Amino acid sequence: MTALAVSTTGLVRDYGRGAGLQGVDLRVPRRGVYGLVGPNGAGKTTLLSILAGLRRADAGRVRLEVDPDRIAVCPDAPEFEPWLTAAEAMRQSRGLAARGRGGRRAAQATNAAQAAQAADTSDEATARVLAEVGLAEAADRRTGGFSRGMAQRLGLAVALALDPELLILDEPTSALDPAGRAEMLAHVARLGRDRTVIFSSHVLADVQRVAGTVGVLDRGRLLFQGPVQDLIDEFLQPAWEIRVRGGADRLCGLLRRCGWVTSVTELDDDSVRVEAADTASGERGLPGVIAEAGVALVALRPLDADLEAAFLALTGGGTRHDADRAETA
Amino acid sequence: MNGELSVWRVEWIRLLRTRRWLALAGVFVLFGFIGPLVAKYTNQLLSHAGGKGTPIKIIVPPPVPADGVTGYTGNALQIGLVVTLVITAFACAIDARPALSVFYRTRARRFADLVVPRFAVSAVGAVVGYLLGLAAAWYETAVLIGDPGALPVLESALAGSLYLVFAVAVAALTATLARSTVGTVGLALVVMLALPSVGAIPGVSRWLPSALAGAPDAFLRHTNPDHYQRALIITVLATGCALALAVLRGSRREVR
Repeated sequence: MTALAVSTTGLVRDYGRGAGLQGVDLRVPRRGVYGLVGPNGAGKTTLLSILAGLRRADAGRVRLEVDPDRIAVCPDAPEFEPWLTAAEAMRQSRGLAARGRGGRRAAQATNAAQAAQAADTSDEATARVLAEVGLAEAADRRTGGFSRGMAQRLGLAVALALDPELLILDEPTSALDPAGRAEMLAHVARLGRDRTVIFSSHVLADVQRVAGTVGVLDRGRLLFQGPVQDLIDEFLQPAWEIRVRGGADRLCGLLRRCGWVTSVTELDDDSVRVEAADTASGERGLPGVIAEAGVALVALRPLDADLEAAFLALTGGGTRHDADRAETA
Repeated sequence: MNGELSVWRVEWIRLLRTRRWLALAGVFVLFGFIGPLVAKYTNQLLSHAGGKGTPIKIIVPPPVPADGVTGYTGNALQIGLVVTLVITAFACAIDARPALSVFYRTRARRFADLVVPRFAVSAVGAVVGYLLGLAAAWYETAVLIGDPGALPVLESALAGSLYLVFAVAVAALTATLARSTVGTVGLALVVMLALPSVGAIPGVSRWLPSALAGAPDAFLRHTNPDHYQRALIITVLATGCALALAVLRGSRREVR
């Protein structure tokens, strides 16, 4: 059984009219990135706030298997005292946490030399963490002049300054440019190697890229929780598009006779869309059928095998999406 | 350079870098210089204000040393009080900016760690400003009118300082009741303005902190100076209670 870092049982926070959380049983494995996805108003921020101790649940239980002093939270639009520099905000973060823990490293040092050594280490750590998030140049700039993207980077840096066991990131890439987003995702993926990261995002491709486990929250209920691949396998009918040069009707006929094929649609320009009962059958069976049909193969590609499609299928968004497309057409 | 920035240091930096110290010191010292000047030259100011053709002549008794200092304390404990409330509200309204509130609340284990330094530094700033203004008023009064005496000035310093500290504690409490800085200031002003109204009830006024606003006048003119001992004690207790309530209320509050 996988060791858990955080779990909740029957977590309820009712804001009325169905808003809030309606009995969430969260299971966040220790170490790794847990992606929390859901549409606006699904209850993601409420759930993360309860885990961080910033809001209370009406019912249910939260069980933390990590040191409560080593939980760090980074909201989607972090704010800092505008008159502090980035480096000072880092030192402030550590100062507050050290006070909470009831002691400081420097204060624990038995003599001045030890204290100086502790302080040096902290300053080096500040510079290193700021460099890691790409803010080395802005270390001595006041945060009041930071863009939202810079504030997001600093938000991660001040969280990392606490050396957290559990890191809660709420939409950490929402204000970043493409390059910054890629850097942030790589950083999150690295952090997940030796820490537990709960990563909430609207951008499902981001979650798919960094998260090993995913939780799908909709209208306050957890609709799915488990490995990303399981979600895709469970809620998506594996589908491929085959493009040939002539003989598409012959290929369709052969495919319809295969037991593992659930749907065959002949598209325009000599293309065929085929759905299979499962991924493995399709991957093994398709090359043989194409060869048997004796058609010239131009392209064969899997369709929609991503988290977004699975999410839409799970939450009913796919049906809405298809309906929208039909209306547009 | 130390690797951690203490909560106390951050509050001093807040006071200095936001120039709020300038607002505090400026308003008190300004009134400290204006008060004795107005007391000294009231007669001349009124005669000029009336104009040459006015048949009415206003006669004001010659100024006494108490007029110079009370001219300051009156303004300091009204306009200076409002400035103090605004500055305290900006420091203590921790939940006015939710994302900043997340930063603070996920790091500090006790809400007291956040609010006590803000209260203390705001109170020290207000008291130092008030005392600087009082020193200026005392000096100028001694030069222009005459020395009001050290004891009544020191008593005025104590009463005014305690009243301002109480006001800071009230603002710290209202910051945990209102959601915005403006709301915090408004609520604190309502409390501070409501106290003299409550004092209109016979026998109650001597017990209220608001009595301290008028105490310097009594100390400097030697009119019933013993009446304020109860108000002094109640103010100290009320300050402690307001701060304790702020800590209690703030620690139970949720972040939006």
